Amino acid sequence: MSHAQSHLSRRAFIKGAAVTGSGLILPNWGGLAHARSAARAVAKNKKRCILLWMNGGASQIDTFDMKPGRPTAGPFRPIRSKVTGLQVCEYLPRMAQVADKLAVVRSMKTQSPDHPDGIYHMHTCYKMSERTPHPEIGAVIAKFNGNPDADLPSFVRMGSTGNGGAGYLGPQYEPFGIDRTGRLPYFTTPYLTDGNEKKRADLFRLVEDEFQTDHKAEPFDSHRTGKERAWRLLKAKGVFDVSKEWAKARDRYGDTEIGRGCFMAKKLVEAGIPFVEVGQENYDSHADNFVCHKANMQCLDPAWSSLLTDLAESGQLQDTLVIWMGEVGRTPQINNRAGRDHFISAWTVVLSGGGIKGGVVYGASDADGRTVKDNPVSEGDLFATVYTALGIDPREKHYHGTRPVWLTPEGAKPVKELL
Amino acid sequence: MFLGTQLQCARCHDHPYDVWTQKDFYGLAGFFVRLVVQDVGGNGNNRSFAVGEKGSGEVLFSGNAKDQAPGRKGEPIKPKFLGGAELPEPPAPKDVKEPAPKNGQKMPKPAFSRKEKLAEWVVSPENPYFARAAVNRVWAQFMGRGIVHPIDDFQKENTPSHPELLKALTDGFVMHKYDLKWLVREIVNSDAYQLSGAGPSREALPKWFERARVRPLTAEEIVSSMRTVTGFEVNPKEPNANWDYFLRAFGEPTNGLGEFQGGLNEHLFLNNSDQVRSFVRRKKGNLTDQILTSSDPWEKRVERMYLSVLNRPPRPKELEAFVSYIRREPKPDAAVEDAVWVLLNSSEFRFNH
Repeated sequence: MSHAQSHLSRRAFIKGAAVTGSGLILPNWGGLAHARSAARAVAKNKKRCILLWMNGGASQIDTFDMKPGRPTAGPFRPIRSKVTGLQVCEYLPRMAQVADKLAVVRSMKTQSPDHPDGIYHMHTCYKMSERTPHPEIGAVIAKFNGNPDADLPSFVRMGSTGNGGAGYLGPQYEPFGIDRTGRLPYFTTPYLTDGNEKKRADLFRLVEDEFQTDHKAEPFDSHRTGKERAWRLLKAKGVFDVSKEWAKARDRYGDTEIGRGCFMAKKLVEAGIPFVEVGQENYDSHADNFVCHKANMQCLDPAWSSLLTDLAESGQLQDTLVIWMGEVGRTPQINNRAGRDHFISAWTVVLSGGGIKGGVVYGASDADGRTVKDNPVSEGDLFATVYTALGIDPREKHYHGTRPVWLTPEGAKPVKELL
Repeated sequence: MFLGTQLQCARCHDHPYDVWTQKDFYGLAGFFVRLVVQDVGGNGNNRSFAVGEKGSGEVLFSGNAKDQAPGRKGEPIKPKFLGGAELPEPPAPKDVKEPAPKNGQKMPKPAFSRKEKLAEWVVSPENPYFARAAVNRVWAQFMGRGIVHPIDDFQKENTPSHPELLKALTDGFVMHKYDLKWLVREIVNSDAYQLSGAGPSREALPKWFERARVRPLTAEEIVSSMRTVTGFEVNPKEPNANWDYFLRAFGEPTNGLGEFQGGLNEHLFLNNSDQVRSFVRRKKGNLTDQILTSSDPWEKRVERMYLSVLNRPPRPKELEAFVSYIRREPKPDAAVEDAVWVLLNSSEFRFNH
């Protein structure tokens, strides 16, 4: 591991040394259930992902796919960005300065037009109505790019957005929810002192050792691994407290929820957490679209651009993929309440870092933004692109009961131009 | 459920590996298409519902799901027994007028009931599926896995682990006129069922049944077991207090294949919550209190603790460790609380094995 701050337990280091040194996987009780993935995780430094979730669905025409001079344009003016040919909204001036890091996909053509189904679909790349419990992108990345021996959870979510959870991957990959100030969930404050906790833990280990002398089944390992992880998390939980550093970063990120969330996300991926989701609320502007979007963008712009700049400066952007998206786009048509409604025929998602090419615009909508003109991208294509960039095979197969299921649906293809 | 066969693939297309076609799926659906759920009275949480049957209505079949388009209508398809013949049906009388029962009244039985015909067929000797599916299901309930596993997936690619055993049990079940008590008695009296959970095999549900299966307790079982062994007093006004927390923390701890996977939430809750602590903290009359008030030597008291929680005496090493854990504290209250907590958190308690 190249990050000095990585919360990797001593055991994992020893195991890692054994794997890379001799090519053998050492048997040990905690590792057996995960021996294969542990070996993979320690063997090389996996890529990470931050999902910036625009809850409610941001308007593509008012952000990255502007239509100046057209009836659907709305009142915002475009400004030039660092990339020739890419204009962005006047309220994203700092994003314009980092546009060379962005891949703007202007041709999202998706299938789920409302919130619950869209949120599910854009977190799992499968339809909600299909009834198979598909895992969210965070759970998938936690499984394939997380280290089972790490002290910290591998799927962290700030605020509440995704609605699929770990699905068929199981509780080990469920999101660990914290709020945007970094406050931890219930039951993370022990009632015992450190010394007493350690004594109690040792007594527990002795009982488990005795039991496991003649009971070897896997669930007992899994039970014990879970317990040890809970203890290690509490030792490492200082990572979630960023109050000191925040004082210095606040001016750049903006003293807002999304500002603090982006800063927190940066700290967490630095600490080795492979997936962090942070949401920004209030994009569902069926009325007063322009008031909402102006306010939201003014908070988003410093937060998102500082995140990318900081990741780039510390050399982590190449290993950290930042996704900007929501569940739907918004209609080109402006309704009689100065709002824009849900829209799935031609909308925009922005990727950066993690091996995604920067300064690229992929696909296009027509002159008024009503349909996709070039290179439509589906949910499955987008997820296949992200998974491929992160080193995960998009056609990785699992079983749900007797039925084979894949990480992305049949026919989904990574967008090669972005990789 | 009754036939032990998975047909859901054939809803959208013919089954990719098995013999079932979409016509089998929609043929079977023909028995259910006329059923309606009726609200038959009551209010609030006490509403009653009944399943009624109409005298008309057909399943429309329009081919493979990928060829569907808006506006495309299907052809009516006759009800057909699974893997068998079409249901002989008297010609439908012209202009059936469906009865419209008033509020709270049950639908009258139609002149010709498809539901009744299906029920007769399910338990008839001509149905090859029912007896073996029932036997396999009951076996799995006790043993953790079916002789055919998963239990609802009888098909040619998924052969039984012990075909002779499945046949013997199925024949016996039919011979005993589908007597479930006979079946349960046979299973629980078997050596296979009575095996211990100890052994070198790592599978939670051993395929050859060479030792007992390992089953995680459900959230409800965990709360009840913790209450019982610690003598936790239940407030009759709130018998289910704390259940919510347990349900949330334990959830359904399996991956997609039904294998156990311990989650972080479960352990954070067990380690740090007041809900779990309330079982082990000293309270008048509970296990911790009884252990503390006893004047027996600590060896005896630790033994009692083990018998109460794990239903066995401690092993020598455990006895020594527990006694010294408690003895080294000047005041034993906290140490006894910890000791009971450790037993409640052990794998031995968490699983049925």
